[in-house]
Parts: sequence; C-alpha cells; structure tokens
Amino acid sequence: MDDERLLRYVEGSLPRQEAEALERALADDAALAQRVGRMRSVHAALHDARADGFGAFFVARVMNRLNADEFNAAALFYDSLRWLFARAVVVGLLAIVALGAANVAEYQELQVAASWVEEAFGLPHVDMDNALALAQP
Amino acid sequence: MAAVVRGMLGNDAEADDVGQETFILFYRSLDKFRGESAVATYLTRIAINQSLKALNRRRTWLSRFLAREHDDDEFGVQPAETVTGPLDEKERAVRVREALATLTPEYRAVVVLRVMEEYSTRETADMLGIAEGTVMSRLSRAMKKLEPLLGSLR
Repeated sequence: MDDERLLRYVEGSLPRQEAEALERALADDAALAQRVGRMRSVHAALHDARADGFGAFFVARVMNRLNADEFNAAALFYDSLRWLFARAVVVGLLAIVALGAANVAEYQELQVAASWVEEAFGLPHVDMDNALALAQP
Repeated sequence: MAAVVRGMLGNDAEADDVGQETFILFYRSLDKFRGESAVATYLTRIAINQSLKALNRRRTWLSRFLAREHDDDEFGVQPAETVTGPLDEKERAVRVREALATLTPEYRAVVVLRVMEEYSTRETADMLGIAEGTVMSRLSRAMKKLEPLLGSLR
C-alpha cells in the first residue's frame, strides 16, 4: 500500500470507492491498520500545530521596513556609488584596450618593437647589446 | 504564509523576520507576477524559498561553532511515548516544532507544504522544483521519522 494513498485516506481526499476498498483491507490487516493509525496521529499533530499568524503588529513591522528601505539615504548613496564604480571600471578597461591598440598601431608603423608585449605596452626595445651599451659609462 | 514560515523555522524572531522579508519581496516582485498561479501560491513559494535560505544560513552558522555528531537527536527530542499524561495545545505545538526541527530543511519543506498546508503533491513539487515522486519519497521518509516522535501524541 503506497503512502500517497494512505495519506489521502487520512486526509479524507481519497475517492469513495478507493476509501471503501482500503477500509476493507484495514479490517483484515492489523499491521496496516496500525500504520494508518500512527499516520493519522502524526497528520493530526502536524495539522493542529499549524500556526495561524505572526505576532501582534506584524503588518506595522512590514510597513516600517518597506518605508525604511525606500527612504534609506545611506542605501541610496551606496547604490549610487556602486553604479558609478561599475561604469568607471568599464570605462577604464575600454581606455586600457584603446591605448594598447594605439601603441600597437604606432609601433607596427615604426617597426621598432621586437614583440607584441612591447607593442601593446609601448615599451622601449631593449636587447643585450643596447643594454650593455647603456650600462657603460 | 505564517504557517509555512513558522513550520519551517519555529516560533521565534527569525521566523518573524523571514515573514517580513517574504512580504517585502512579494511587494517588490509584483510586476513579475504573471498570474499563472494563485497569489497565495506565489506568496507561499517566496516564503518557502526564504525559509530554506534562512535555514541554510542557520546551518552554516551552527556548523562553525558546533560539532554535530548525532544528527538524529541534535535537538534532544524525546519520543512521544516517554511523555506521561496528556499534553495541552501549547505543549503539543512545541513537540511538533521540535519534531519538525529533526528533519532536514528539504524534508521539512515537503511536510509543511504537503501535510500542514495541504497543497497537492503536484503543487508541492512545483513550489520546490522537484519531481512528484521525490515529494512522496521525502514525505514517506519524513513521516516515518516523525512517527516515533508524534505517533502517540494525544
């Protein structure tokens, strides 16, 4: 006997014919009857313990929070800062990419860079020879 | 909605707080409500999600401070058979809350929605985003676990 059916019987939502068949089975099966009895007790205990509402002035507490949230200047300031910061980050990243692209274009035209890193970051070309030359007094 | 939140979280300030959050979220998400379900169902769905989040926060917080060696009796609930004499309504409610607290949040959600709130198996499955078979298997296991705790309450 599946639990869904037993639960619906306990709840009283099982169709009449099925409920009658189950009652006949209960009359012949003591173990099943005991199982249904315990399920009925658990169901009744849970159902009776159902809370009806929150404490007093619950609606007032909700309204206070709603009003406080809507007119909270600190939260508005924080949200504005977040909005500004997010856009500043995007603009900064775009500027970095644009600067890198401009460097690459310029270095390729001059053909003085030895690698894409030097191109993108606008670094002067340094190899062992000119490093030694620079190091000599 | 109160029954769902208090069934999930008990009868304390946290439940009240989650209840308030539920109504605030409901108010703010009204423009997203497309009328595919009843308003009560929509509100209950928000309530159960907020309650599950609160329970997860509570579990994370507790796990930082407590070593949970015995999940089954972490709340020290005695089986109902050990209770002598009939219980009054308040005592019964306390024992039910303690018994519910022994269930994991996922199982508790099924019991609260399916048994206490009397949603159908399908509605419960929809609200929790699980299959109907999963609802029934969780409910069956939860009822078995609750039987020794509540099966003999008078």
